Amino acid sequence: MKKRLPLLILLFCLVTGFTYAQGIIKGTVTDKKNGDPLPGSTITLKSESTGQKMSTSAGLDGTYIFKNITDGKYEIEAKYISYNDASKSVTVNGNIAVVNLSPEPKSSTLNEVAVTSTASKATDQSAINAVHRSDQILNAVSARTIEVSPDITVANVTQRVSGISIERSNNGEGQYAIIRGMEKRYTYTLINGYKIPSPDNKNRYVPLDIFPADIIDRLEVYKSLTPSMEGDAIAGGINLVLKDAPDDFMMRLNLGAGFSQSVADYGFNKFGNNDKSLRSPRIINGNDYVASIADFSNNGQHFTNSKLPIGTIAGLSIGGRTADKKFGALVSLSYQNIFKDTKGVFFSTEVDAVSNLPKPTSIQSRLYNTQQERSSAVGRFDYKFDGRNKLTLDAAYIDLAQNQYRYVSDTSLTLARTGIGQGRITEQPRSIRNVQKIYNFSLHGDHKLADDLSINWTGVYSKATANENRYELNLVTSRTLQPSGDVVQAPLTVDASNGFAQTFAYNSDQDKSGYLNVIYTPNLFGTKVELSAGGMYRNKTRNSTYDEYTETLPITNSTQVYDGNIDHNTFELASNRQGTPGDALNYDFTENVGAAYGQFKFTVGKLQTLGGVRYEHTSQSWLDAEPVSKDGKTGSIKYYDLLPSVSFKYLLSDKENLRASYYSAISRPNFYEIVPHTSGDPDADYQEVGNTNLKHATADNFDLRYEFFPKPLDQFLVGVFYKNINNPIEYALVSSSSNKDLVLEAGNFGTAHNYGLELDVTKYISHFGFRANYSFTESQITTSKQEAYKDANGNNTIRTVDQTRPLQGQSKHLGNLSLLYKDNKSGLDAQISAVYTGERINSVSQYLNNDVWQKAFVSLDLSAEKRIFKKLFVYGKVTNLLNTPYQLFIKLPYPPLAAPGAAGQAIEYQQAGQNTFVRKDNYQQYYILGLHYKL
Amino acid sequence: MNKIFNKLITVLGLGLVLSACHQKEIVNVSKALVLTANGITSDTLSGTIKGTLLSGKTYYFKSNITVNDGDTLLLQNGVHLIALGDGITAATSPEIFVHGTFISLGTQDKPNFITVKNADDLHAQAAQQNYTNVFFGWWGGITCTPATPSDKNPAPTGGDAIIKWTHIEFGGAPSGADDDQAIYKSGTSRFNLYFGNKTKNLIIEDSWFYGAKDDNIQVGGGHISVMRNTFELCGGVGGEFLNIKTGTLGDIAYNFCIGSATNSFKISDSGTSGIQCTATVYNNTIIDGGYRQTKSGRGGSIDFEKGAKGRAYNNLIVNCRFGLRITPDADYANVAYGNQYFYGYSQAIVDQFYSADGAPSVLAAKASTDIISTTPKQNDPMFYGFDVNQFDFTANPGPISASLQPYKIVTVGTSNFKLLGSSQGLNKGKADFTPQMSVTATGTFGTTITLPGKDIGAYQNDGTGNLH
Repeated sequence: MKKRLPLLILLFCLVTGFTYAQGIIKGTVTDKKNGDPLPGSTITLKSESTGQKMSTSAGLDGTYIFKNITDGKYEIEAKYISYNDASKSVTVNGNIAVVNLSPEPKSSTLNEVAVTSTASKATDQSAINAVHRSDQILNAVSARTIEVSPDITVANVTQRVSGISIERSNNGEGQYAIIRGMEKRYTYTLINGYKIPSPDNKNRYVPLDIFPADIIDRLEVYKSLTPSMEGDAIAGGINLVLKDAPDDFMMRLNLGAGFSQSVADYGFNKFGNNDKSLRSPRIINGNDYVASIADFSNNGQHFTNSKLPIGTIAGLSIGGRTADKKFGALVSLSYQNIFKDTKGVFFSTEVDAVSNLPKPTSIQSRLYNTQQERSSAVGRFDYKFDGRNKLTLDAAYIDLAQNQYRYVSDTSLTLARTGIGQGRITEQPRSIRNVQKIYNFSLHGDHKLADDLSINWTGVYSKATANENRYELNLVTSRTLQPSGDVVQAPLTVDASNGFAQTFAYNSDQDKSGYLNVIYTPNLFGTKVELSAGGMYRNKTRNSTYDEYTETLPITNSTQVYDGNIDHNTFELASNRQGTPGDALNYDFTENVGAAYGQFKFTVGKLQTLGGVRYEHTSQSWLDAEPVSKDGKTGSIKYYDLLPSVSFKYLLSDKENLRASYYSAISRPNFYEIVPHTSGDPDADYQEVGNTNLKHATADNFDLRYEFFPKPLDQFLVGVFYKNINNPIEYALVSSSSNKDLVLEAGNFGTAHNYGLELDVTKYISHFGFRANYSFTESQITTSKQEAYKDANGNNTIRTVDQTRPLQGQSKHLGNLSLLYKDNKSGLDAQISAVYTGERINSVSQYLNNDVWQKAFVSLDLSAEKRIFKKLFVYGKVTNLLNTPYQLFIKLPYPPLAAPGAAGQAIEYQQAGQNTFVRKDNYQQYYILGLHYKL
Repeated sequence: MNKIFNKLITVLGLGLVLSACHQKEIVNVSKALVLTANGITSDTLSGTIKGTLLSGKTYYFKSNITVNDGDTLLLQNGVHLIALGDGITAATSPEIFVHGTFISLGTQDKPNFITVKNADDLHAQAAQQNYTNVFFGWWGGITCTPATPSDKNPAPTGGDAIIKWTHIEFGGAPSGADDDQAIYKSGTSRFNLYFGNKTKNLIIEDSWFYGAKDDNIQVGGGHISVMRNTFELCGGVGGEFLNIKTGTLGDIAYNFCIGSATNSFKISDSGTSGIQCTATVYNNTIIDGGYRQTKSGRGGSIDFEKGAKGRAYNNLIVNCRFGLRITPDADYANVAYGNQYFYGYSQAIVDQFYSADGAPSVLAAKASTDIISTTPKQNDPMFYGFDVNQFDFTANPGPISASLQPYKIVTVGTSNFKLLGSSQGLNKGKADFTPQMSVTATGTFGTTITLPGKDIGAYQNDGTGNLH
């Protein structure tokens, strides 16, 4: 794979040098209706005198060429799927003959008057058309691009779009899109234009890694909103357009095997299934139930090592239409099973009480073994009653099961630390099984009541659930310096008071929504005006339960060595026998959102104007498990927003648009952030608490963009944007009610400004393609921070100082570069993609200048596909070719060398005067080899 | 025609941009329910109460009781306050929540008892070296914190806790929904006493603490005066007699401590109050501490950790797994120490008189005024009635299970820890410094501070110091 890269570049250079001038037939194959090129169409040349045939395929820009043609008369014919053949005659006489062919799309009369177009959105062409013709500012990625890209999940696809970076989970998989440097909360995820609930307790919107890339037809990234769209997308929206039923019978089969370099290096630990109960004993038996040891399974701590598990990728799509073309169906099944390891180093830090410099308090080595099993079934069925009425039913079921084994060895750097390799050590073998499921059903109707009046409606029911079981064993040991000078390794024993902890977390999120839109297109003052109005209502109910149980060691047997088999240890359930019923993570939350809008659209001369206003009313309420003796057992929050928007599209020419837009948007806090819980993610570095006073963020967004489409497949986009965000929501560390610890709380922080520039270039030359984008983003937010210092009286204390910084997660520079090669004749596609993500704040510190930053990185992915037999293709993908690490640091120098245990002590990875090292994770390469079958 | 539209566009465009409107949230969140306090009318206490528990009487409570902000619960002398708890669940193991003032005025003749019904039986089991039920954790202890702010009372101040001549025993049942998770993570063991109020006083004088499951007393801020108390047998597998954190200032003196799981006194600035934890620890006697702590790298007598500062003088530290420990992350430059008297049965103990993981500058500058040796069994402190060599610490260096510890080395029992006239500890104390005196109130509702004594340890040869 690695050898192919220089070869590609060489080829690239060679082709541009070709200049033949004799006996040549060349031309372009374009769609007869709209003039779009038809890349990959087959062109056959038949000599009228000899009957001899030659064929080639059109390049990415629709061009073809035949060279060294003997003089004579030829018939030339172009074939393209779903198009009628087009042919012409040509006489060659030692010259260059230019023959342009224009096949006409096959289409039924039904299609001609269809309410919505059924042209395949899967091609790059349609993706670019979507950008070109849309009423708003958007970027799009086609299914075809995804297929030949190295990406296997939607999240990875999104990072190829300008202005987007992704936030990865701890196994290196992309999970959330960060649009224009704004935190994931500011972006919503839609399927076919409709929201789906999230199984994630901390987020409203679904993680993108739950979707296999091959179920979608096109990925659209909206960077501005129209009144008909829901308004809670300050950064923008991501819309997954699922595949539509095709006119002709279609079948695609994809089968692949994957393997991870890290798993090959470190092996893979699997753990047993819980043979007792996946839900907590309290939930099953009621709040008064007193659990015993017998209620818990040890299987989560039974490990078996599998040397090199092989991953699987399989996909099947079948679709078609009845003979009368009225009923269409498309069903996609997808299965992925991936094994990955992550090896990392992490420093817990606090600040020195006098110098305010970062002070590492422990060093952790972490090994994760993660298995992700994604299964999905997506079906789309439509029925066209006649040219004016159509019903579409979408049904989707998506399941993501994750098994993760983690081993952490944590060495304290403050206590019992007298040199490198010494200190008190805690070790934690931990396993987590997390199962997320999403069910989504929607019924959509389109009705054309009159030539200038149509309505459409949608009813959506969806439900997302997540169940997580966590089994954590706490072990202690130490390597301590003895007064004799020896360093003694203590035996590995079970932590008597923290022992074996099991948590049970379950939550479900259910949406019932209805949408109705009316579109009226009268002629006013001789201009066709599109007026639309509509509304939506969504009832969302979220339910969360959480319990934690800790098995501890009996007083009479409090020093037990751990030999690797938990069954050899004796535990008792002596503390939380009833779980944690009072935890506010046990809650029910209801949110009702009602919205209405009015929108107009008309074109005068070269200027298209679209605008209107949207009204959204939000009503939230909750009931949690806190006792009445505490604040926040119940609560309700209500507010409304009036969200105007207007966008102008000025057609500078056929190929050029100039766009300007304004829209107002909001971002609602996550339920988890509002409900007054005081615990939560046990994996978080800090305890998290809820904030009932959290406000929704509001923003004014301005965009200006120039678009140039020199050829149908080429594009050049350049734009600037500015966002003014009121009450942006960020996490900050604050003191807990007891002052004992710092806790993490979501809060509103004044006003933030976010502005930037985006550049997007796509260029195709015959078989070669080049895609690049770059974005520059700058943001500012001012928050108060603490600074530790010693006062005049010699007391260590803290003062408050204001600090201005970029938004969390915002990189100043983002860049993407992809090189493509595509030859339909030989059936070879290849792509190499690089992504540059500039440094960005990973987490905000309570202390001045102590924010944790993620280091800038470049990741490189490679993929290729080759036809081996008619409709059978072999493909290969390599992700993370450069083994790009995930690195965190604090932009403050590690203090000068000092005594062990003190700030500035000698530690691996830290260098005096250099930025303080916080974390480094390596994911290594992932390889996939597979087969595609396309019918 | 186009002109109409052009005007329309301009007007609409401007109008729209200016018309954005976001309503402020209408928030309605339930507030903590504060019930009006009832006077004390029967011997069974429940709900929200205030008033006086009368001299010599016995009172019971089997569910949580609360004292509101501004109210006082006062125990006259000779009061028995009995928690009826089974220690199984939070709901069946009551706790005393004090958002006002808590006063227990036992006297030398008529001490108070805040304990459990089966206390006598538990003491008897302990005497049989059976500690399982002693460390079971039967009730939820006393928790003194300011109330949650409310509209009526936006800045509750809370009150003092004044505890004199009082026995407090056998706390440690699991916490539950009523507890503040920032103090007790759900389901964890509660303490005999938690005090967290950096503007108020915690006065504990001449009292006895026994049999806490984990930490005995934790202080998350406050002015403290901990004088002349006896601490015995606390912490099953870990836990301190007195664990003070950020925001805590004061004196810890003339206490007698025996058989702690970890430290007797842990002074740490951990937390976020902005007030540096500072303690003056003097004239305490600490016996056999630190052996039940199963984790390594902990202490066994007096610890200054994480940013803490203060002074440690005149302490008698006998057979503790770790002696004076001033860690590298403490504000060690501002910890003054000296005149400690160390005794060790084994070489391991002797080697840790100054804990080997202490700050290098402390290890390099051990106080010359200490009574210290480098070999085992040197400098016997010469107690009246306690054999410092009765247990083989060489064979049991720790960590060990409680069941391996004889009753006599973890409790006072019939022992007598006054020093004989031949003890080297006499007249070796540093008496020329002034305690912190962070608590300024004196008298019945204040503190009586015993100044640093000339003899090392809690018992002065002239009969002053610890009066037990």
